[in-house]
Amino acid sequence: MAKAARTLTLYVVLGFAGGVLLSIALPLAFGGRPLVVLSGSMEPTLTTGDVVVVKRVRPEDAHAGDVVTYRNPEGSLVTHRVRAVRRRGARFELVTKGDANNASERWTMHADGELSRAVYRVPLAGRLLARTSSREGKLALIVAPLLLLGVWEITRIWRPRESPA
Amino acid sequence: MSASSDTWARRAGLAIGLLLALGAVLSWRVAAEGATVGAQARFLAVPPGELTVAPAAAFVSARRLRAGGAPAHGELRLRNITGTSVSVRLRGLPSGRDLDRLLRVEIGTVYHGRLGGLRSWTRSFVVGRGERRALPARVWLPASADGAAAGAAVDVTVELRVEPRRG
Repeated sequence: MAKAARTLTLYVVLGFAGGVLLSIALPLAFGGRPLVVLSGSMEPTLTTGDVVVVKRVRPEDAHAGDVVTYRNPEGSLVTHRVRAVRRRGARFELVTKGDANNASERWTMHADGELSRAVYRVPLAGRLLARTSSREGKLALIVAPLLLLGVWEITRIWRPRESPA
Repeated sequence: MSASSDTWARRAGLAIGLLLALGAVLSWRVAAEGATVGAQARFLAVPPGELTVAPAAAFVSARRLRAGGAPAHGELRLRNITGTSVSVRLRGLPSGRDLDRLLRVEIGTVYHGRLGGLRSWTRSFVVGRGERRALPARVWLPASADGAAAGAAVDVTVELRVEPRRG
C-alpha cells in the first residue's frame, strides 16, 4: 500500500512537471511564444524570472487593459499593459505602461502590424531556463536524467520479482 | 503490489499531475484590467531652498480616476525655513497634454481649475517665518470627461517660486 502511495506521488509530481513543461513548449506549435520576464516593470502581475506565454494578435484586437508584448525602437521586446489604443488612419497609436512604472510610453504601429498578447505566465520557470543555458546547467540537464535513469534501472534489476498471483 | 495496481497508480498519478498542471496554468492566466482603465495622475512637488516639502514622494497619486468618479486626495505640506515671511506661488508641469483639459485640480485655496491652467504660476500666498502650511489637494475627472481620459497617465511636477515678502 505504501509503495502504491509512493508510486502515485512520484507520478503526480512527474505529471505536474510534464504538464507545466508542455504549457511552455506546446504553444510554439500554435503560434504562441514563451518569453522570459527580465525586469520588474510589470510587478506584481509578472515577476522577474517568470515565463510569459504570448499569442500574436492584430493591433485592432488589443484593448485597454490587455498586457501586450511589442518591440521598442531599440529593438528589445517589452511587455507592458495597454492604457489606450487609438486608430489614426493606417496606423494605431498605443499608450502602454508597466504596472510598476510611473511613466507610460507612446508608440505607433501600422494597422497590418502584429503584436502579442500575454495569455498566461509560469512563475519562476524563466529562472530554471536561465540556469539550463549555463554550462553547468546544460551538464546538469544531461547528467541528472542519466543518473535518475541509472538508479531506476539498478533498483529494477535488484528488486525481487513478484510471483504472479 | 501487483503489476496491474502499479500500472494504475502510475496512470492515476500522471492524470492527477496533468490535471493539477492544467489547473495551475488556468490560475496563472494574465488578467486584463478590462476596458474601463482609468486615468493616472501623480503630483510631486520639488522643494525650493526656502521651504521644506512633504511628502518627499507624490502628494497626490491617483491610479484609477474615472469620469464622474470619486476624487483623489492628498496634502502638500510646506515649512518656511528662512528667517523671514515668504510669498509663494506654484505651478504644475504635466508630463503630457492628454489630461490638460479634462483633469480638474484643487490645491488649497490657491488653485482650482483645469490641469492645463496649472501650467501658469498661481496667485501667491504667504508663509510666515518658521510657519508650516498644509495645502489639501484634490484631483478628479468630471462626468463630462466621459471616456476621453481612459488610459491617460500624467506625472505633474509642481514647482514652487518663493520670494521674500516686502514690507
